[in-house]
Amino acid sequence: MDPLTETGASARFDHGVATHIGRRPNNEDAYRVAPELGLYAVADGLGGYEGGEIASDLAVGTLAEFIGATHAPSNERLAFWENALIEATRLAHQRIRARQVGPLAMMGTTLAAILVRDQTAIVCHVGDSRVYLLRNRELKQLTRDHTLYVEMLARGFEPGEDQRSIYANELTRALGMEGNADPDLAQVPMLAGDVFLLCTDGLYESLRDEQIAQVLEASSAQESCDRLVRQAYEQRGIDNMTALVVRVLDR
Amino acid sequence: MARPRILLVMPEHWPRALLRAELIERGYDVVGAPDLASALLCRPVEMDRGPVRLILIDQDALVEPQSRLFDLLVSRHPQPRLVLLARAQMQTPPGNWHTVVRKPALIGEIASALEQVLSAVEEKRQPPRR
Repeated sequence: MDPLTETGASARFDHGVATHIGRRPNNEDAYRVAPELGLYAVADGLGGYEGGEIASDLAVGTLAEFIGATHAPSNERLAFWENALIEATRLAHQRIRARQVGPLAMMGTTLAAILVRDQTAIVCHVGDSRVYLLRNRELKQLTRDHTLYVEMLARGFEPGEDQRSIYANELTRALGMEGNADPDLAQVPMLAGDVFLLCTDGLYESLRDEQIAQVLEASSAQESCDRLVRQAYEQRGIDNMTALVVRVLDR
Repeated sequence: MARPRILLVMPEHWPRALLRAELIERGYDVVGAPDLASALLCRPVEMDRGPVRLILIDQDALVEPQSRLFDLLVSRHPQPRLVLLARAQMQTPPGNWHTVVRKPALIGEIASALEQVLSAVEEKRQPPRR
């Protein structure tokens, strides 16, 4: 079965993924590549807490399971799939919450995903894992981090340079975290030549946007992932880092 | 069971330190912050600590541009009661204040006011008696 055909999409994709432990004792990032579902996702288990890798794996696993079990007629609108992503994310949140006992009491995770339907990428995210789009040699961040730093900027308050990383590392939304864990969604029409990058903070914090754009422009999907992760690590990347690239080949 | 957690947002160091000491003495878990930006770093949930049940905000902390962070602080802690420590002769700023304590007030008086708010919250949590 080819759900991309089933849902009317006819684009062809090249995808790749790479993950690295960085300089941490444990890799708490997780990812799912499911081209048969049109689904690509990365998740970053919350550092410093036990069970981060359990939470991140539950998040991407639940997303794939839910989308895989959801059947819609081929003319179903994108709003249907947006709702499916919201429900899948809520289910992942509930599953993580249900397992928060003992040393796993604080576990949580970010999530960044794209679901391809009707030549459109539905971008879904919670937390500070990001989705970028490289189009016409221009790199654009499609997601807005759910961090205190971004929320403060939105209110016209800029913390001092020395405080920036403290607020940037403080999540305001994550799966498993108390309060709102619903994802932000966006629809992005896919064009031939587009390159989508899904990544965790360990990757983008070590690299400049120009570096990311340069790599995405010049390489195949898998090669891009390998090079991005290698460069991030060589530039003293400490945190776990994951890069997942989806390149739109043609229609 | 985790002790009720209180967050104090008070720019002046000494009154904050004294009130914190008084509340700890009375059995509470207390976090102090000099401004709203620092108070944001107090996490809503922490290992082995209960959620923040009450936030005391000194009116002197509600100055521009810090005051822009007020709603963010409140949204970060969905459970707590808000108490304002108001200036003597100033209009009370808008906010969903459970109680307003007006200056000048003794440290003991402020602590008792907070305790009263918390005990009202705890009473509400108890099942109704027969």
